[in-house]
Amino acid sequence: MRIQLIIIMALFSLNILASEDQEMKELFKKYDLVMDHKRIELIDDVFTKNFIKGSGGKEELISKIKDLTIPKEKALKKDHISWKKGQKGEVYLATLEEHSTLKNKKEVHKAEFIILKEDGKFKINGTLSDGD
Amino acid sequence: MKIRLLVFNLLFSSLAWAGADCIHCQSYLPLEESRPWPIEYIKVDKVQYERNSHASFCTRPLEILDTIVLHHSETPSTVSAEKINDYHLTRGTATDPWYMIGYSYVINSAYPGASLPKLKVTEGRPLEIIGAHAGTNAFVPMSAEQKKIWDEKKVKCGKEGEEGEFDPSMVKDGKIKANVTTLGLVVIGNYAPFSKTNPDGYSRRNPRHPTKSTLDSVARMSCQLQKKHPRIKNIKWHNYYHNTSCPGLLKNYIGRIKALARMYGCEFN
Repeated sequence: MRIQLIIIMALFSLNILASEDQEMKELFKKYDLVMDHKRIELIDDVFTKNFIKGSGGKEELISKIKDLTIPKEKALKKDHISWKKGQKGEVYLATLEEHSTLKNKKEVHKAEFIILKEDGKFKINGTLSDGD
Repeated sequence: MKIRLLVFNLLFSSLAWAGADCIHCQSYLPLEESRPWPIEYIKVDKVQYERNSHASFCTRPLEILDTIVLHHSETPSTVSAEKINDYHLTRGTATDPWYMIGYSYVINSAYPGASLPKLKVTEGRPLEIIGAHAGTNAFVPMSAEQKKIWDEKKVKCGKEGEEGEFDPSMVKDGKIKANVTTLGLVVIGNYAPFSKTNPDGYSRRNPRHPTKSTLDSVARMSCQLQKKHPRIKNIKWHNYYHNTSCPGLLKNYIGRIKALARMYGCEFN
């Protein structure tokens, strides 16, 4: 009975982990749409209310996104998102790698995103400077 | 009369010029430039941080310190030192857990035009514990004094409650890990431009420069540290050690910070 319970619990947590992983990937797909394809109608799905407010409001954030040009030689390696839940459970950190697509340049820049759950959905609440 | 007016105007404009770029002019205008300004010491708040007892950390004698490394947190300007500690604990992995916040001092200061947060300096990782900020793969040359400390095996690593052991991997080809000889001073905020990897950055049309108050607090804190630990002679910045956008526009103000520190009677390379 106890073993059965443990197996059920393990399956349950694996299921949660898998669904959170999927949700995180979805978030960054939307993030790509907002940043690369200027799909600004998705801003509320991608960023927390606090983040938008801190960015100077929605209009300011939209104007920054519209002004943004992604250098062709840089690309985010979309299949390389790693994330983990914070110790206190409320914060998630997602790490993305930005690779240079130029063959002679092997620059890799890691970006760390602070993710929160808002209204039950993952949303970006900011970034964190690197360093170790 | 005309000459008197001319002299008055000349005096007035030179005073206005002197005051235009001076942080303290409202309260104190030095009469002799060679005399240092009286430093008003910054109160450093202490916080009981949560620490990860499973993580190992390294300790050092304070005499090995010679450099302050300036960072920005890349977070919103209102984030607290405790929050940075949470993030850094989260950043660690199962195989490489982080002990606590990687910076030694945290400065909260408002952006231009904002009134919050109020200026606050918080102690981060104690100075005796080697920080995690400059990049673990960054190595720097050792001075003769630093080499002596290293050779005496006074840098030790271990977990809480352990005695700690000498870790030879901190020196490679005669160079020592930058984290061992430096301390991290972070200004909370995001001073780098908006980009896909930095969505909280400033708009290129409206660069986010640090305020005079922010620069003054960095200068005073640096000077305060030098007065307590006279071997600290350098101020560097994060991307001096490796390729990163940190500390953004703050880097452009290093000269200004050093000049301000000089006014307080401190000399930095």
